[in-house]
Amino acid sequence: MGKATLLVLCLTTAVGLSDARDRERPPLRPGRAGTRVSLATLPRVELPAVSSAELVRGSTMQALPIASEQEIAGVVVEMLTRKIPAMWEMSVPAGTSVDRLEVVYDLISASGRRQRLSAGAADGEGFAVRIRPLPSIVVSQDEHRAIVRGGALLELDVSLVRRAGRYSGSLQVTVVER
Amino acid sequence: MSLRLRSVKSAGTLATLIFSLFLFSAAPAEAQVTGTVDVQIDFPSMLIFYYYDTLNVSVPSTALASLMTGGVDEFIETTGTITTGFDGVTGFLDANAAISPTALDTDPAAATLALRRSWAVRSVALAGANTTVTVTPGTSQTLTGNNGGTIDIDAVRTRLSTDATGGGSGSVSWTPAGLGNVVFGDLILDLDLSNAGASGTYSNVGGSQLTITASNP
Repeated sequence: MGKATLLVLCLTTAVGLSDARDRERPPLRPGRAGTRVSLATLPRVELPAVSSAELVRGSTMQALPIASEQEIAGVVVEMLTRKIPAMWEMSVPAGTSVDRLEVVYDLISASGRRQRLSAGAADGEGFAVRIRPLPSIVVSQDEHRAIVRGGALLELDVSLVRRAGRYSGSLQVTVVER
Repeated sequence: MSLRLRSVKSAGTLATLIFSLFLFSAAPAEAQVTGTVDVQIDFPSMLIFYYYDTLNVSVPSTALASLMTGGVDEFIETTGTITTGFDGVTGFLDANAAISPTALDTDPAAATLALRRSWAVRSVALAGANTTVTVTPGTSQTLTGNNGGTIDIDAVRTRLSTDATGGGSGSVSWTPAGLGNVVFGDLILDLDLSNAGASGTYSNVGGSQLTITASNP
């Protein structure tokens, strides 16, 4: 029974780490933890709203005299990026190399389609998102544990967005220690 | 005694099982953890309208002639007989071939000029809303010729360029196609050329001009 008690304590310690290390950050949501590592994520990320300035270099309502056909073709930016630098934190045993951590992101839109964001359940109103993981970094450590932080760069293909409003999805973060 | 042995054995089995689990937990070949983040972003309503602030339309004489004749040489045939008569002047006979204005293919007072792809729109609108383009004639729609004569714009309509055979109307609406898809539109002008008595340039510059309005609700 003494060993059983020890085991329970070890698990509790591993799961309870990470979100108290940086009190200035939004509260992290514990993920489903493994036995040697534990993960906590931001519960929700509101990406900076899309602005007309970044898409059309001007206001949302524009009337432009035509100088050439090329002008019509080239005025709009169709791919936007949003960086989420600190989306998750993970507690790992001290000395664990971040090179051993493989991070996989899987985005499911509100309409249920992968790698997309959508306006509610309407499948036709959505756009593709490419997710590029940012390098994981060790933000703190002691003799027993280290805290690793990671995030992602989201590339939003907004060229076919037809409807104004809120687009949403659920981003699943999976970290595998190899 | 035997009962005590079973007790020891049971405890031993439990300890062995837990120890095995502990070993597996402490040194796994691969550990995996998962979390979920709700992501959202707001997208604004947008409208970009491209237009020509000046349109110079050149009408070649051949095109103008084709406008009147349908593009073929005109032979007005008759099976009747033209009767000549003495008109009272010595040496002259008089006959009336009687070509009627109704024999002409086109009434110059009702010529149609379609300006295809004369405007373009990129738009994003709220759910259920359409983008609309409306064309409004000016208070005076007379084009004045620099060598004399006038051309009147009797009516102005618009249509989507994909509706090339449509007659158009005062406004056209469509479901927004997104910023990456440009929607092109035409202007259709009903012209009265009957008073265009001189070749040259006819213009409304400095006068009343057409107004084209693009909107999202």
